[in-house]
Amino acid sequence: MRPRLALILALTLIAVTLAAAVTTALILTG
Amino acid sequence: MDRPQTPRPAAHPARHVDAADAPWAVRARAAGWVALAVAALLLPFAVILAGDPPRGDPLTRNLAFTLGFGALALIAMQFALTGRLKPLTRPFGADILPVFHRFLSWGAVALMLGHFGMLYVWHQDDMGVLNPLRAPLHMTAGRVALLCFLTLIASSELRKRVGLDYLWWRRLHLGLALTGFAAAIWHVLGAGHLTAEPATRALWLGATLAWAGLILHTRVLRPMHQARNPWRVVENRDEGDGIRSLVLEPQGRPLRDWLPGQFAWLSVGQGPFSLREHPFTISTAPDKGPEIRFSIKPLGDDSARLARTPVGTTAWIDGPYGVFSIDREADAPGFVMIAGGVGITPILANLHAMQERRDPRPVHLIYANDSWEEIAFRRDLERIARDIDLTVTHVIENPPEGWDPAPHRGVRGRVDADLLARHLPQDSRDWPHMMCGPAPMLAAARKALRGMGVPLSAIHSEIFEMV
Repeated sequence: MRPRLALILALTLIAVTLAAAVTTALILTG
Repeated sequence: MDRPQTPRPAAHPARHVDAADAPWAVRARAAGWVALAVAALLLPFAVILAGDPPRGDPLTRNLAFTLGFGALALIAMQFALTGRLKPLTRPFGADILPVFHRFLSWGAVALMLGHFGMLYVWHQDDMGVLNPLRAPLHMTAGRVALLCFLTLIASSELRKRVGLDYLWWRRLHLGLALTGFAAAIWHVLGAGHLTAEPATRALWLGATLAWAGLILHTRVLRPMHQARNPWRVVENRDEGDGIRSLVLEPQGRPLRDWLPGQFAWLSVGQGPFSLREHPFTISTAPDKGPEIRFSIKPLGDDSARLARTPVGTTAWIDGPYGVFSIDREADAPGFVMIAGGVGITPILANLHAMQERRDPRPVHLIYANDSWEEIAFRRDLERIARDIDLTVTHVIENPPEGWDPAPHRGVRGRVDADLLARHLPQDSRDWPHMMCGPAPMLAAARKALRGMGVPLSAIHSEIFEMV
């Protein structure tokens, strides 16, 4: 795996976490 | 080929064929790990929502808390990435995981700053006082955690610029990571937001236990295993270009599942629990026997000390790791290998394996060096080329007058698009291109190869410096 692929994968995982945080916050806010 | 070949020395098969190393199997394992990572990152949110969380708070407050949980989930994952877990390193390569760890840490700290910043701007009441003498301990723990992780990132990004010693940096890194994670867990459970449910508390306590288990494995159990299997330096020889080779003999169990081109962490004289250990390529092949050879160029930090290691010294090995191996390419019809300076070592290990096996596949090696006199392993390459179909092109920037690189080819200049197009056969475009050397050379070679139509999936490079 190349460094650029590692960056893309890391950004994807960060985006997944961020999306989950936003979704959970929206559900809790109602 | 009408070269005088010595007979095949042992009954090695010409190629290593292992279903687990086939490209589809490697990709499937990598995809499995990524899916597991996504599941681990989503788990805290699933547990929060599955419980009966309080509803109706403003969005900014809820988002501040969920960002904190996201940051903690990302940080917990970092310990798995840096724990040198062999099943995890195998599909990705142990040299790329620290790169991944670095990028993911930036994300974790960004979410953590988001958590802190949103509360600071919109919900000062939740923050309480800053003074640690008056603030609740779990709030001070949160601030300590943030400070630890910011220092971790800064000390890693700026280590070389500020001249921080490698050993001290490792001690600092480990200390800050342990303190930061413990403080963060204390903060989360102490603050109690969205953790009132037993399942949520159990999740974070479970994550903490798993984390403690991982630390126990990496820092205690594995070094204990190394202590039971020491190695002895039986030779320290000059290889040219300032490179010294240490030959080590196992005093306990030899390396297992070792592929040519892999590397291992070497600790000399200090004991296996020392943080003073460095990754080096094993420059010989498993087919040659259980002895291993590390070829070290004293480039800085501890490598000068290691290069002077006297014969008879005890050493400890953690490995092997890495995926820069012909054994991952059982179906390849041939190989292009490109080395710069001491980057020849993992390539040499692969060539030794091919020599031992009398692998009939053609290899084109482009080997770049500053000067002709100081080329390391020149004689080794000549010997290997007598036994396998190896074509070596020495690329020297400033060759001496009237130099004669026979039996190999010699070119004046640098590794660039023109040189690669002239010296690589047309039918090699789909072969694996294995490269190791200084980063600028690798970048130039990668660009040139892409321009020649070599697919990205056929270009493999080994990262030299991990930190």
